[in-house]
Amino acid sequence: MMQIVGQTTQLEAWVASRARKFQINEILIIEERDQGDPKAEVVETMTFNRYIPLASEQNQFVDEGVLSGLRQVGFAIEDEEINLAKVRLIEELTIPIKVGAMVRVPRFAEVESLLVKRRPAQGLTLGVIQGTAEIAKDMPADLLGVAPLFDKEQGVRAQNGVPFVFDYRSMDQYPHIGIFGGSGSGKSFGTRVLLEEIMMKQVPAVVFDPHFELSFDQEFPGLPEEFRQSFKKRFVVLDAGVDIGIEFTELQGDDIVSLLRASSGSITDAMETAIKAVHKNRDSYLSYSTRLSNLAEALDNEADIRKSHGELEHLNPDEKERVSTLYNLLKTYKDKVGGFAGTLRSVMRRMHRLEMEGVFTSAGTKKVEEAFMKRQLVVIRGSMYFLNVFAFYVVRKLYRKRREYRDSIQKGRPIEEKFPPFIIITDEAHNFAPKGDVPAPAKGVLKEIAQEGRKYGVFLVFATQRPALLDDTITAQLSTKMVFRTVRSVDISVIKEETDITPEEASRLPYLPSGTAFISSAITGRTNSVRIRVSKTTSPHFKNPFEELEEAFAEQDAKLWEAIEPILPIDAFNLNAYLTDVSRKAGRTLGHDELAHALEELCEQGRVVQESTPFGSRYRKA
Amino acid sequence: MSGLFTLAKEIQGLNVTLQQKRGERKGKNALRAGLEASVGEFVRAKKLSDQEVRDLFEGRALVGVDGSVNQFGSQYPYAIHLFKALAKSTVAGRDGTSSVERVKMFSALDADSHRAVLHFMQQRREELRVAPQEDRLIERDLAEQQAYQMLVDQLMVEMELQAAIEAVEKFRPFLLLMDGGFSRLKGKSGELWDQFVETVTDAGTIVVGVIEEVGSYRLKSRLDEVDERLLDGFVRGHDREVLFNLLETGEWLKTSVERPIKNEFYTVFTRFSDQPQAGACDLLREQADRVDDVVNFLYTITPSKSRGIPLWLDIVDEQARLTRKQVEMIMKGNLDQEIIESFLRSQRERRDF
Repeated sequence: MMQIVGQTTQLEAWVASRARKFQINEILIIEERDQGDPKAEVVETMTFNRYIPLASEQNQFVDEGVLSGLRQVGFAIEDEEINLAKVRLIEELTIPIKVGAMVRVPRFAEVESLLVKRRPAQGLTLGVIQGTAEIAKDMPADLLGVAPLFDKEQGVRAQNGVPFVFDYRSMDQYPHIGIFGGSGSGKSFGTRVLLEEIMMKQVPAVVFDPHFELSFDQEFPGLPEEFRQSFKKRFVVLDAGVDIGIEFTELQGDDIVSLLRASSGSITDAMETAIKAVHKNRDSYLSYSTRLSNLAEALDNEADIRKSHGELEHLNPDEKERVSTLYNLLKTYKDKVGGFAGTLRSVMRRMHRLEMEGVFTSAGTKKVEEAFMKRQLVVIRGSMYFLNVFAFYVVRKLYRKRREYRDSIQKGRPIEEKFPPFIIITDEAHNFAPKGDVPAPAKGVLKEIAQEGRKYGVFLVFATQRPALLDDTITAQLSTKMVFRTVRSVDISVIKEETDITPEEASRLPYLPSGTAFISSAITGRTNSVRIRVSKTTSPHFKNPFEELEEAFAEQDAKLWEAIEPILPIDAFNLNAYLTDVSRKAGRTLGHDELAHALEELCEQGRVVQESTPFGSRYRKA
Repeated sequence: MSGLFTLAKEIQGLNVTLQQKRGERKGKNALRAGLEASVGEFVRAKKLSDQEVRDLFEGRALVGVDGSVNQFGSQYPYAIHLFKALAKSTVAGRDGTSSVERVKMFSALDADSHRAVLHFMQQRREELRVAPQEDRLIERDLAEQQAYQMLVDQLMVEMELQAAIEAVEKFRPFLLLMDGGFSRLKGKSGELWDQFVETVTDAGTIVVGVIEEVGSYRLKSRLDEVDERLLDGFVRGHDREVLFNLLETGEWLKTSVERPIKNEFYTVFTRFSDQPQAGACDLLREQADRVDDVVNFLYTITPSKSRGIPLWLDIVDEQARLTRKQVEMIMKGNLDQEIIESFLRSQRERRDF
């Protein structure tokens, strides 16, 4: 029996029960016919035994003999436990909740509309809504077995509640997703599950992967047969700088400034002016860098060139052309670039570095576009710094293509090229779009997408450990937030401000178990506590670096022993005689000192002993 | 502030007097010898082992009975009394429940209740100190008020006994604990008491009235028989004063059955906890031979650091009580605000400080 007790408000009440323990986040129905049997969610749980109080001066803890005596006549004090739950109504009433009203666990049908906005076939099944185990008992078949869970102790286990199905199709109304959580909170795991679901629905997407952890060809071990799935044809991995490059001809002066700023940190005003001034539309890397270096040369030799230009007819044809080119450059650009060749050389050095790293190739984004046409997920890998440079270019290019396509349709213009809607996903999002004045090349376009992307069907999924460092405009545009364990108080306060999670939930944030998240969404209209389902795939296994170290050396030692053992005993004075043989057998070239060192090591390990002979010392097998 | 100083002076004076008085006392041993000579023997109670408890009860229940009465409102007749009597068993009955509960509302504002008061007044004319005279309103009102108060006490006792009778019939317990002595129960309930005694006798239930604070005045006369100076240094020589710190923890004064200190019942004095204040237990005279078992068991289920009441009675007491908050909530939830304001709100509640 569960009953409303104590004082109530139009929104909150306490429910008490003797036998039944309450689960946090479970939904209960308050039987108050006049108010339409309102539904409420458990937001706080408590259990106490009034006969086992906290010891205090007034309340001495009762002697064991007393309890034992009463137990013999049939009274067990432990059974006097009372369970309490603070519940909050899903929808506020106009008058307080009736005290004494009975409370019960709802049938699935009664809360279906509240919990399941979409069926798994039409939405992204991310996990199980916490506290719904009891309700889930009479759930229809299509909601069963869609979200098995995982924990470290039990491994993969069965779905134990109502699945949380994210209605991604409503993102046109409520766009963009934020995924927040510290390290070890299950954020990467949650992101992986979200990506898997995106692939299952075949929504084109591009992911920036600075951690090299996103590939989907290794299956998660121990999955139930019906849950297994191959993603091999649903994604491609591209390396930034190899499979994707920036087509220089597409860049504007401003873009080059952004790129150089992102790649080299600081850029002076003089450099910025120079970069923009010298750049011409449709410049190739070659034409642009030649112009820069010529201009630098011209500035260095300005007097000579001006002089030579005065007597042009005396020069040979080659020389004549060189002088007139440089002269013209001086005439056109000198005032604009400030007359100091050092500035230009700094710019060239920075550009050259990018070029060497393979940023400027003709690869462009062709491979991404091809993958999009196949409705695939594209994973772009690279170092954080590299991705920052690329994200700007890739995102802008893809976004423009999509926008042009939509605009053409809108304005009835002939359509040149179809381009699908897509999702942009990134981890460490605060690096791509940092808060405040911190510059980042992609920030501008990401902000634009945050504000206008939904019109064009371009959506963002931003994962970060530090929501407090993410650009405010973008944070405000994230209609759905998955919040994993968060410890830092600045981040918690940002989360409090930007989501509808309650103070009780916020206070639970630092203690959330790994893999459990609050999903606050304008689409569901409320915050759900969700245990993320097991992922179907796992990230490529990285060996622990220290284990790797041990293993690598053990292997090397074993080989050496195999080479030395058959030729023992070895005379110490004549080590050089054995080198060729040992090197051949060990598969690597050993020097005299190395062999001596190895033999001493073997002595220490007790496998070899050193003995004195009339001809000097000798190593033999122990 | 000077007023407080004056009071402090006076209190200090009283303190000195009382200290001097205590100084005149004979030793503890003289008093104990006197009680042994005139009242009974001092016995050490024993904490029973689990097996001993099981052997004693043989699977039967322990039942505790308590009642509470709460007043809501101002002075008579502008008040409502709420009664609750509870008998709680350690073993559930056949219907699965383990308690019997009685509740009642009583108020002079209610016509039926008021008639009961008038009727009671007619019956007990002689007992009322103020003679109700029809023509003198104030006196009539005073008499009514007194009658009302007596009736409230009587109702509480009746409800406790009714709950106890029902519980005995339902659970047929081995032992029934009443909160408080038998005198009050018998004195205010008339025939119901006889019915109660009959019921427990039929059911083979031992019944004990557990008295937390001794209020009787019986030992002085006995001690005076031995030696009149034994109580030198005592202010009045009420039983509670005589027994204070006289018993060791777990010790009890097993009064003589042949020469009981109360005529109707068999009473023993006990000290179940570290508290130096003595308590007492009332038993029916017919059940006096069970006193050792009863005292040992009660000692077993009394926490040593408590106020000296068996834990079961404390638990029953806690459940029988209506808290101030509960009373207010049930009143405010079910009475219109204007009713409360016009009939029941006392001016005291309106104080600002």
